[in-house]
Amino acid sequence: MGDFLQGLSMVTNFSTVFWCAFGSVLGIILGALPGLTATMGVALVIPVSYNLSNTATGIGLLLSVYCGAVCGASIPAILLGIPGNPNAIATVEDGQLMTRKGLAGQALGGAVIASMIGGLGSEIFLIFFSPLIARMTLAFGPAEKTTLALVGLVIIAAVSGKNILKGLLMGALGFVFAFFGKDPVSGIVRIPFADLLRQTPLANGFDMTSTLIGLYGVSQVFSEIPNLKKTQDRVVAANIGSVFPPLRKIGQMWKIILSSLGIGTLVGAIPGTGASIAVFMAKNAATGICDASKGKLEKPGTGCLEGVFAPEVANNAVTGGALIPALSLGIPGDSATAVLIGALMINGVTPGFALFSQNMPLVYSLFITLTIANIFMGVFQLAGVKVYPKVLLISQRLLMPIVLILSFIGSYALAGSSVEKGLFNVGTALFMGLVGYAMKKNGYPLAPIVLGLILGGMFEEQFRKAMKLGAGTMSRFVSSPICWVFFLISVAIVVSTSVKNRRENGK
Amino acid sequence: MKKLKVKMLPLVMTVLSALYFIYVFASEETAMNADSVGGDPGGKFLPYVMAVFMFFGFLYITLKERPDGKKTDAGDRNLFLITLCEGVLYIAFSKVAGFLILTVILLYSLIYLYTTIGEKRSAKQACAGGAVTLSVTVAVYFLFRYVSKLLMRLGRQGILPMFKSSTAAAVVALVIVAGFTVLLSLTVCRKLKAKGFNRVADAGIVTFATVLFLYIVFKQFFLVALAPGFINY
Repeated sequence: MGDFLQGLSMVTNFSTVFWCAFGSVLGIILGALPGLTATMGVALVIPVSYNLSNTATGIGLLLSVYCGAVCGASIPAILLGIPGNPNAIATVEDGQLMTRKGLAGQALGGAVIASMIGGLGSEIFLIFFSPLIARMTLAFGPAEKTTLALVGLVIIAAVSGKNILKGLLMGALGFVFAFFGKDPVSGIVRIPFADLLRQTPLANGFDMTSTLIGLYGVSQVFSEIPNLKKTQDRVVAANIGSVFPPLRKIGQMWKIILSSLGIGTLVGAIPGTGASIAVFMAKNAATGICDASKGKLEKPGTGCLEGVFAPEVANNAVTGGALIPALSLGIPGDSATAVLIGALMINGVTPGFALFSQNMPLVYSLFITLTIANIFMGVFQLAGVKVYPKVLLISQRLLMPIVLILSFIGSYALAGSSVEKGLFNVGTALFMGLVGYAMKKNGYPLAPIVLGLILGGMFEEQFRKAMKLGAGTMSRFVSSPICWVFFLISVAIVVSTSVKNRRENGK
Repeated sequence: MKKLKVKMLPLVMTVLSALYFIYVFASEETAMNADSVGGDPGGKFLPYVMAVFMFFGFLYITLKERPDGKKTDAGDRNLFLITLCEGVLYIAFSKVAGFLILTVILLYSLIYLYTTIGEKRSAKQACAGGAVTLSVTVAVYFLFRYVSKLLMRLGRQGILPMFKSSTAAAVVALVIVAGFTVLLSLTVCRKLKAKGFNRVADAGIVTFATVLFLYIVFKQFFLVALAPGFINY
């Protein structure tokens, strides 16, 4: 109870509430703008979160942007038929049909209420399960931690692209980036031309935040350039109508809500799966429930609230679910949580058992800020349901230069009072932006690079510790059943994904 | 002989992987003597593994995949190169020219170029708009910096104690910038738009508001040392 009260005191201040509110609105806007993603939003606010004096406030800002962006994606999905990001793909069909029927307001309002239910519901699972899973990691030594990192990397490589080899190569590239800088054991500088560059910021390796900003912010600007030619004028439905769906109708959908909540949380908790899978599973399950309701519920796909509720509960349930392995094991559910883990680490929060055993007040503050983020997300999106559609009118041609400058200033700001280091960070962001652009253009996923960069240092340190404990042999890995389980999971993922990819390519 | 057509990226990555292997091979051993006796594989082991894996992985893709034959549009390529060059110049000259001037130039030019894609551009119009934007931004910067410093001095002297902290003065600066943004968009920008200079007006007002807003947030709220350059008030 003392830990909870301490955690509560960390967030019950004006600053936290203000930044959570700001993050929610920013997240909704970022989510609503097609082309801007939750991942990019989280990456862009890392410098702001880092500069906030209270860690809990910084985390609150990050979580608010994350939740807001997932929810905000429903706005263009409903009004324009374009999902703000992949989380809202399954909302498009019924959302658009409802808009054509003149029920845009109900669809938007329903999506917000569903998102709130999904976000808050999944948080219950997060609060219950993450400490339990984190406790399990007590049995992990260096060898187990090494193989766990390997599993995380293999999972994200498998699901974040169409070709697992490309994903694994990107993971290796992330490791290579992580290896630049100081040797984790001896502290000796490992960079090319070390004698010349020893005094430069590169001696400490690539700055993680600048790398994240470059990969997701700067690269997005470069990637959007070919799309700027397209017409930027969007026609948004002028008549939003009544916002609140009938309460009775929501009550009738309790089975859909529960099944979508369960699917979203579970799928989110399985590392690497992501919301885009959960939303279709939830919609499919909702169709079955509607079929069995004997006409009481309308079937998704016909322009009904059921078809909006199911995916929207599920995609926000994914946020809580994805945080379970992220906080307890340090394994992200998707690219957004990969960036979020990096952001948490920059803010001094290292996921794993140590967090739950040594810093429980911070864990509670994280849970509380997540609750605040979900509530604010709902309140601000409902309050501005008639205003946010106007955001859709903002041209990408205006937005992209602003994103570029935000990326530059954000990476610069992390250096604090050192102009040289600040400019080095901007250079890192630009370089990583080019890397990200080139990779995306050629079908290589970026999330494994991020995870490789995050896990690289830990992986190397634990691997070398395990080798030392085994007197230079792999005995620690061979004798541990946990290592075998993780190793077999990795092999199974690689094999199953390769077979699946081959089948899909063969079709 | 038939010309071998391969994708550039995997080929470049294959070469880079080979170079990375050579670099690791040539670099000094980072494991301490006692550690290496105790079984530490050293700081070169995993880089070797990654270099070898990447080399063969990218080589496989290079040999397997063929280019799709799509050519990049010349306009897109030019815009990409301009954006990249401006980014590089921004980093190169930031220390000399400073945050305010360079950010205005970068942002204004990119917004102008992006918003006029497919339209006839006027260099004279664009330069005039840029010069006015820069002048107005610098003028308002001097104004709010003067007001901020004055308020903080009064705060320290105990005349206006609420301005003792820099945060309160930054809030006032924010209000000044917001006020000028509204004023300029209702007066100058409206007149410019009425005369058909829409693109210049949009680029100017967005640049003005963004640059000063970022300055206040990062410099005055978060106390980040933005590169001062010429203007160091």
